[in-house]
Amino acid sequence: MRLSARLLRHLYRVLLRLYPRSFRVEFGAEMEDVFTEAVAETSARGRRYLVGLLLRELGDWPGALLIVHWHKLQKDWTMSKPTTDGSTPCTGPQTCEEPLEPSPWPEPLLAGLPHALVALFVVIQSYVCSSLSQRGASATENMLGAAFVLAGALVMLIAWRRGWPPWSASWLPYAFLLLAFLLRELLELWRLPLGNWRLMVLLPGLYRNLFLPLALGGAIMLLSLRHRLRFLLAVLPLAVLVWQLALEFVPIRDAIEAAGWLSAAVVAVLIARAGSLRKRTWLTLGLSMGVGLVYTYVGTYHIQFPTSAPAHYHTAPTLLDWWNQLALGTLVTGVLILSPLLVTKLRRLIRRASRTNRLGFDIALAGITLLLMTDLVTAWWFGQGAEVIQLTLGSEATRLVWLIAPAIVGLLLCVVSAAMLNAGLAQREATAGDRIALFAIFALILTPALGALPLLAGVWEMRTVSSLWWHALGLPWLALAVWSIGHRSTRRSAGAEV
Amino acid sequence: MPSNTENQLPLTEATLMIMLSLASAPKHGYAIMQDVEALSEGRVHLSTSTLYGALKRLLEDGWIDRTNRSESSDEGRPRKVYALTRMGRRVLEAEIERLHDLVAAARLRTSEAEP
Repeated sequence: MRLSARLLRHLYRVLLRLYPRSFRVEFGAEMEDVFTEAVAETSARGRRYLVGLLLRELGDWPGALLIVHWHKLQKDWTMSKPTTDGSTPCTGPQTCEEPLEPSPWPEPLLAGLPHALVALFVVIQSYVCSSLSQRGASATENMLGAAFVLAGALVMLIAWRRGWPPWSASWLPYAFLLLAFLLRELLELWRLPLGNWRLMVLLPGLYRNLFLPLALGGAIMLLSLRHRLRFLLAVLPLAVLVWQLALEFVPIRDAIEAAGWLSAAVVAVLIARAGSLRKRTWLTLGLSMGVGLVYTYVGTYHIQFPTSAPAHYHTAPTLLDWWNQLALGTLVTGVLILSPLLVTKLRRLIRRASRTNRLGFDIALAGITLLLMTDLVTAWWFGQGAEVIQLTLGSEATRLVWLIAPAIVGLLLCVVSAAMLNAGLAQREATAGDRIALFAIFALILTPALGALPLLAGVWEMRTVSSLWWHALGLPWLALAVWSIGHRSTRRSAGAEV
Repeated sequence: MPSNTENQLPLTEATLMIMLSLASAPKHGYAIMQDVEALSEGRVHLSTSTLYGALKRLLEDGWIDRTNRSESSDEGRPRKVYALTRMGRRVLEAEIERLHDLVAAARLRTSEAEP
């Protein structure tokens, strides 16, 4: 190839850089080849033809470039614009979310069925087994458990054959718990012959404190990003389980638990039948708050500690005791239900931005997920985990490291993401105001991590409302980020259309 | 003819010429450029940017599709070949019919105006 042709090709390649990346990837090489062929052919015909070709290419190029960019903008805007039902229009099999329309009958009943079965299980275990001998009760319980597991396995098989319809999400948490139980049993089998006492105690601690919350948090975040109806159905029983921690030492626990699971069954049916994401979210939050109010009330005023418990446990409960339980549960379930939804919304809004922004956002997502894990660990810590953690993690310093490590990593990832998002905005020629606002918002998403600060400072008793308020700031900040980016995107698109 | 096909009309000159070029046989990018020039008797010269901007829209609309041909370009890359789809052919026929009606109406009007 002659020098002039090589030079022209190089210049053409430079001009191609101004096209959108997706267009370049699809047509860049081909355009370059066609241009080279055209140059070779017109050069052979004479210099006049070559000049004609170059003038034509240069003359058409700005208009064609503008049209390509305009079409891309239109396409991106249509893709990211939410539809009336809260879903996002599909762009291909990878990003396509299933529509959020109401599930046809009898699918909603299948969504509520597992919770109804759990309620039945609790009733039979509590009221039928109590009238049997110990041996008979144990056999009945085992039989019921096995029947439940078999029913679950059968349902999962059917769901798999049907391509995981939305109702199957209600069964997923139970499948997860069963899997977690089986893994724990396997771990038990494996660790016993180890011989090292410390390792034998440490492994279950790590499994419960680190692996389980990470796996659970990652799974619900992934579910939310893929399909919000499935996420809400899956998170519903988890919220009920979190509130159950308040029922410890309550004599009428079984009756209340059964009522809670039955309510969850009814709400799961309503969620599957609801016509909008907003209704579904309110139903989930409503059930969580309803169950939380009842459970914490009973767990405060109708509690019966064993006579061997320390004297201060037997003092009359106060309104503050109830409030403290309610605030803690509200925070944990709120983070559990709302954070993944807000993060999903935020991700859809920011996907339109530059590559650096997208990478920054994905890092933020990892950070927020880790912070969510910290919430779950904290919830478990206040339940039955304290003694296990104390036993398994040895010295106070080691305990501190294991408990706050995910929070610190999450916090660092959020800082990195804030810097990257800022850099991404700089590339997009955003105003200084935009950049400062977004930096502040993303930097402050890490506020949930402030909940870990009392742990950092060595203050173990977090059951005071004042320390929890710091923790509570995370959700409003996340909501503010969603609102702010949504508002800016809408304003910019409106400006572009004008 | 489906109403959504009518909504897409009239076609721009570049789009019409590209689709006419593909009506006889599938072609690669450079062949389309040459064919359009021949088809218009040297009146229409497509630049690469106009050609590929139009091809992208035609692909997105599903009026043409693309395959790799066994022969390669000068750079050794397999050439991409474009062909009209059934839908694209329907649109092209609708546009030809529209142009035909327009010309007939114009002829009728000008013949009426003659003394």
